[in-house]
Amino acid sequence: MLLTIRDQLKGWVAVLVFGILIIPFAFWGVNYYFDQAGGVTAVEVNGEEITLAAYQRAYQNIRQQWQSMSDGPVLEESTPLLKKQAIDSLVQVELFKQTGRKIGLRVSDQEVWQTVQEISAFNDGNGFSPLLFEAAANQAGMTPAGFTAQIKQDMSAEQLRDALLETDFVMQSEADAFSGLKNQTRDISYVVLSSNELKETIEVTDEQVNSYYEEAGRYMEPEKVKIAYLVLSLAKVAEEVYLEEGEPEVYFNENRQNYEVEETRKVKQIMLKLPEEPSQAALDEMRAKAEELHGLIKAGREFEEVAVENTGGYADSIEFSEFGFLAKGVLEPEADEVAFTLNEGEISEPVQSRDGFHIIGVDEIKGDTVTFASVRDEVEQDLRESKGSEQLYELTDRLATLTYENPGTLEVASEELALEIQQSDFVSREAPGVGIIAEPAVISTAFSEETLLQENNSDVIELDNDRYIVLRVLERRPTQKKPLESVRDEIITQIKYEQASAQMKERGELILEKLNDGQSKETLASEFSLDWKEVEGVARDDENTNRAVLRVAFKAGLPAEGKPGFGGTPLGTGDYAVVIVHSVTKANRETTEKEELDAIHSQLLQTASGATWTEFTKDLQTTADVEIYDEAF
Amino acid sequence: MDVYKAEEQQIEDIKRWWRENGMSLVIGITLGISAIFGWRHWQAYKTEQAESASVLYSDMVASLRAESKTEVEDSAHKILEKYENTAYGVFAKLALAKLAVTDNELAAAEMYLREALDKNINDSFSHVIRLRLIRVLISQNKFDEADSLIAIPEKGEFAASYDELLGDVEAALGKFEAARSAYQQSINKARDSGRDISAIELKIDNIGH
Repeated sequence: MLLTIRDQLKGWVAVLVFGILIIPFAFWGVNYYFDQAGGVTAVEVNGEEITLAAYQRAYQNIRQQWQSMSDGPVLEESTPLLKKQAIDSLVQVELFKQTGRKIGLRVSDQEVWQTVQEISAFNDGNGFSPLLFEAAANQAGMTPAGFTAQIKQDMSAEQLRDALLETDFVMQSEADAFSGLKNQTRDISYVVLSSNELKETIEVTDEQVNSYYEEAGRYMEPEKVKIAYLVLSLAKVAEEVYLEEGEPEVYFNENRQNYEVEETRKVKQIMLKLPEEPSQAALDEMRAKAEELHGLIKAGREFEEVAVENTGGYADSIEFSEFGFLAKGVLEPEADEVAFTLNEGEISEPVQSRDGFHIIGVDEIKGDTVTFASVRDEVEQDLRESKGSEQLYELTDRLATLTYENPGTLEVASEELALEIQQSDFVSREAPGVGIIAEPAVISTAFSEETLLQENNSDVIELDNDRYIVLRVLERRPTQKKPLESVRDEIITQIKYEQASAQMKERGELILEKLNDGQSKETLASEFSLDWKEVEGVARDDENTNRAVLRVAFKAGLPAEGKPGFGGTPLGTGDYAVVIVHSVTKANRETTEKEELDAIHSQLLQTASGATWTEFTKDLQTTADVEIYDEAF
Repeated sequence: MDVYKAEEQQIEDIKRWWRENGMSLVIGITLGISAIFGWRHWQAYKTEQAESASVLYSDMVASLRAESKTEVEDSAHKILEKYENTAYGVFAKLALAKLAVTDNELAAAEMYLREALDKNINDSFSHVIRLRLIRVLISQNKFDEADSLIAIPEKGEFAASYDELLGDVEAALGKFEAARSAYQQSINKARDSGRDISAIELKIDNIGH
């Protein structure tokens, strides 16, 4: 073949061949053939590669978003979904880039540079930091130049997105039509065919009940187990700890700081407020008034009475407060100091502060001087728990060993550790009983393979509040039918309901058929003894009309010349509703609030851009050649 | 073919080959090199054009977001003046169409959209423009023109939108049966692609199932 080529390589053929050879180099340059090396390909979009590294970055991002949204760890079963999302988003961005390039979008270096400088991640507080930029590039596994090129492409993808979404519009006529539809009202007649009487007359035979009952899957009781269990808890262990004489006091002295409480005082005060920058006269007057009130209180009057009685002329400036227990530092400094030097039950002289005069009383003092006697119970309990938790650790370990070595019984552990074997009633996953048994960890262990099928003791399960439990299944009751007698009434009601609904539906449809034949509602009223309800101008969200009736009324179509619209629907009760639509009134644009029109406008715009976006991205995807290399993951 | 040729013979052959083909070879190389330079130059020119248009376009998008009408117009017209034949020219026309719609000048909007559609920059993108144009036509009661724009064979992933507009046309003409089936098709397709269908449902409910 080479010879043939050599023979032919003459004259214009030579020219042609050279020309053709030159074209690829003109387009792509020599480097095209060399620089694709390195990096595993995860996805190929129209022949362009997305590397595994890029995929991993996208996946991590999505995973983090998911985590912060769901506020918990990512579940194993959601991983494939996240992977798919990561791939989809990568493919989408790639397609936007390619499309942008193909239609000739090109962001200038200057624009890229401007954008990069505005990105806050590259800002170190004093403006753009080249170091941060390079670090980010490194992290993405790129050179700064490659990173810039990447941003450039992202920006052109962004331009395409903007061209799609920012130029979308909603026309006045569209908004009007939509609001006309949404707010339209209809004049309707409807009747509810009641099934109550019918239900009374329906006789249900035992045979019917039986065959209904027998149908597979009905009236099943879930799988249930009865379990035996041993519980170890810190509370219980602590109770039985033996304390030596004098031991609590030693513990108290060692851990005194745990029991000291900051001193608080129950304080009340009368305050005479001064105006801002008071004159000497005002000051003197107020001081005199304070002395007067103080005298009254000293004489045995109550703070509050004195304050209330003496408000005349000073109405705004005399104020009584009862603070409850205060810590130091809450009141005005001057008042605070006095309040914390008084003895219990004492009353202060008037004290002047920046804001006015205070008369202070202290009713009760708490804390500060803690004695062993005052906190004895608390100390003993703490000591028990502290000693108890050491014991508990050993006991739990022993419990685990004993129940594991004797997998068929709890007796051994019960005897050695002096723990009572307790028993539950039958419980199911759905109705897990009460108390410790109802804990999710306990129930799921009770129904686990180890305990349920192999009939072994469970592992030691740790619960909150330092509780531990080991259980074994005593008896298992597989899923079975509930006894007929317990559900007989339920079945009878159900059969009556089903029969009545069917009959009502048949009747309703007969009426609809006659309406369709052109019979008037009056004729039908006498034939079927119907009591039509008339509602004029009913709106979609009318609160006084049954929702199911409304749904039918607004789905029944438009009444035509001489022929109303109509429709029917079964109601949940076994009744059936027949609805006639006489006329439809389009909402008047003039009577629609401007805010509502604006809301409709933006709602429609959102729908429009949503549709544009969904369809455009899907269209790009279906016309693209996307190959996912599963083996790379 | 001869098994052996004397060295002189070979040199003679090469010389003869050069006499016969030397000229073509030189012309070929020259052509090739000028093709490279020509292409590179053309590329540079296109890039420069696009980059200049891109700056104007960024301004236009910012103004669109800020809803400042005169500035959008200003940037759009600047793009059209120099770079009408780039993709940015098409985007400028879409922006102008939007402004025209806001002013309820539907004829102007129609003109911009038609021009944008004629450029046919990208198949998917053209569907978006075409759908907007159809909506503007329907609002002007130009149902025949709308109909003929809807009736294209290749609707890609935009079928749900085309069907919805077909339903609008039929409903406006009082052909409820046809409208119903168009809306229903639209709902079925839109549901598959996860689009919001409440507005279409409102329309089909209104004319009845």
